[in-house]
Amino acid sequence: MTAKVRFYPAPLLRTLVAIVCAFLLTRWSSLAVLALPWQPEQSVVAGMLLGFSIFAATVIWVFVAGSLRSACLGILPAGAFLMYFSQQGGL
Amino acid sequence: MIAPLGAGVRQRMAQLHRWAGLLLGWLLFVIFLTGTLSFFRQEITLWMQPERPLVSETVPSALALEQASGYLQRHASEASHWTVTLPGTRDRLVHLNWRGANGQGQVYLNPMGGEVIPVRDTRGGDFFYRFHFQLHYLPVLFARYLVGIAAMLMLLALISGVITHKKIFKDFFTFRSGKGQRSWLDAHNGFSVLALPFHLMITYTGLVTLMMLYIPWGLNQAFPEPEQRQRLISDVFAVIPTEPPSGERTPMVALPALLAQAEAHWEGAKVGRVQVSNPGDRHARVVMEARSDQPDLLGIRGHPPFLVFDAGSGEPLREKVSAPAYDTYGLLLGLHLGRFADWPTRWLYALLGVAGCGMLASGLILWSVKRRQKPGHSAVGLWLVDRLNLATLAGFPVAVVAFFWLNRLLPAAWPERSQWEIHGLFLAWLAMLIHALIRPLHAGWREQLGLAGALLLGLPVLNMVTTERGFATSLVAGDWLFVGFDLALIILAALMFRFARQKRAS
Repeated sequence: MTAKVRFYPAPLLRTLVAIVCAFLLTRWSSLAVLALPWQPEQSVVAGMLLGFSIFAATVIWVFVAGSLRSACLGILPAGAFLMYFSQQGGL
Repeated sequence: MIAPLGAGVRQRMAQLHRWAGLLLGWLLFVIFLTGTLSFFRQEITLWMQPERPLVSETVPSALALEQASGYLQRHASEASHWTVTLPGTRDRLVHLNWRGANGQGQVYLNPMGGEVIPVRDTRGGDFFYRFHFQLHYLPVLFARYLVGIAAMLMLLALISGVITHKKIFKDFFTFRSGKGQRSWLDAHNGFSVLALPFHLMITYTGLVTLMMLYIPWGLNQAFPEPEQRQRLISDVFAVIPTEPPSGERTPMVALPALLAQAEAHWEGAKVGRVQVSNPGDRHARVVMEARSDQPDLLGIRGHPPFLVFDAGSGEPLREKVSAPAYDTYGLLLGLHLGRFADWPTRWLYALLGVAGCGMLASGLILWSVKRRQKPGHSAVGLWLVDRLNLATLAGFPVAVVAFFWLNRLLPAAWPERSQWEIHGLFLAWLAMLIHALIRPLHAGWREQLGLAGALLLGLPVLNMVTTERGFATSLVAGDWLFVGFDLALIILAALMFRFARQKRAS
């Protein structure tokens, strides 16, 4: 029996979205950690350690999601959350 | 209950796995191979400098430091920086480095008598270590970014590879020989699953080693001033900032006394390296660094603890900062570098590194084997992948062995000798690439693998002819490094001949 494969946008577009989203989320997460009530030195290092996982997880998520739209919908709240706190961390 | 993953997800993961693995797969193979060799960095350097005598007795660190300090005061008193690497378990000579306005220098001292050991000019194992993360001939920053991108692709390929497999552990115990594509897939699964935790650890920690380069935003935001950033970097990476000299001469406290103070502070942990900045000046500082291979006393750390002393008064000024994030980073870095490892652990690291090379090689070959069976495949793309596979998977090992051959063949007085060893490696690799482009594929594999086997097998003979540390002599003298090196070469030669024979049979 062969499973029916759902339509998904061209891999190139998905790759592009994955890289852009992963880059932004990584950047915001490394800044958002600065908003935590830790010593800044500790937050900086923790943000870097976290960054690679965020990047990899975002790319995987974009490829796991059934469609590019659902991938973006999933990323949106995470992006909003991290962007908000990255602004707090920058203050 | 967790619903099983749909075919669409698996297909997309397979696609990600395929392209993430292929895009920089050849570069990753080279990075993995040189990284694996780097676990034996010091041993390779020792083999490449056969003039160094076999020192079996351990000399007290204080005595070795006293000899080193005396030599530096006599020959490098005007230098701005001294570094003394004390005898350890892997290298029993004292290594001195100095630099200053009049240039730089280095010598090896025999700790038994304090005499200078003249050695041939070679980068030794350090070449593989540097190449592993900053390649060669390329601008350092560009190369480090490229290696970082390759490492991230590797991490993505590993995660997507796990997700795409339906029966990952069952597949691990399956190997169907002589079945073409199926056999390559089984081999790829075997190499991948066997060492999966290692592959994940070494890839993630590899990214972490250069994290300040790849993820700089938090650092720049929290510490906008360069001096602040330098302070953090010196805390995290144990880079010791040097003060400018005052110009006022001041006698220094005897270094062995500071060594004893540092070892007492670390409750018996041994000092591995001593650095002196502005020796003989009022601003002279002495940094005592502990040896990395003492995990029972110091834990696993990327950068060992250090103590900074005022060289004039002998007063301790500063020590390595310990904090949760720094220590986590240190642990990850320590796991990647493997400097804490004793011999069995080092060999385990090396074998898992070889499994990583096998995983990458079988994955790259699998890509072309699968593609060849698909109707309507791109002939140019397949031709290119096949040729790059041959030139990298067989050609790069040939080039590495050529590097060792050149170490024994180039005269000791050859100008820029160490650089020519490296040029020789890349010229040999280029020759393998040209060979891969002009020869029929099967013949190319057979010839390059056969050549790698022949060069590996010839190396112990060349070593015996050109040095006084051949297999039999080393065996009698109990020189296990040279004996082990020769045995490893013979085993690798046998493997290469076996692969070449398999290619002939197929």
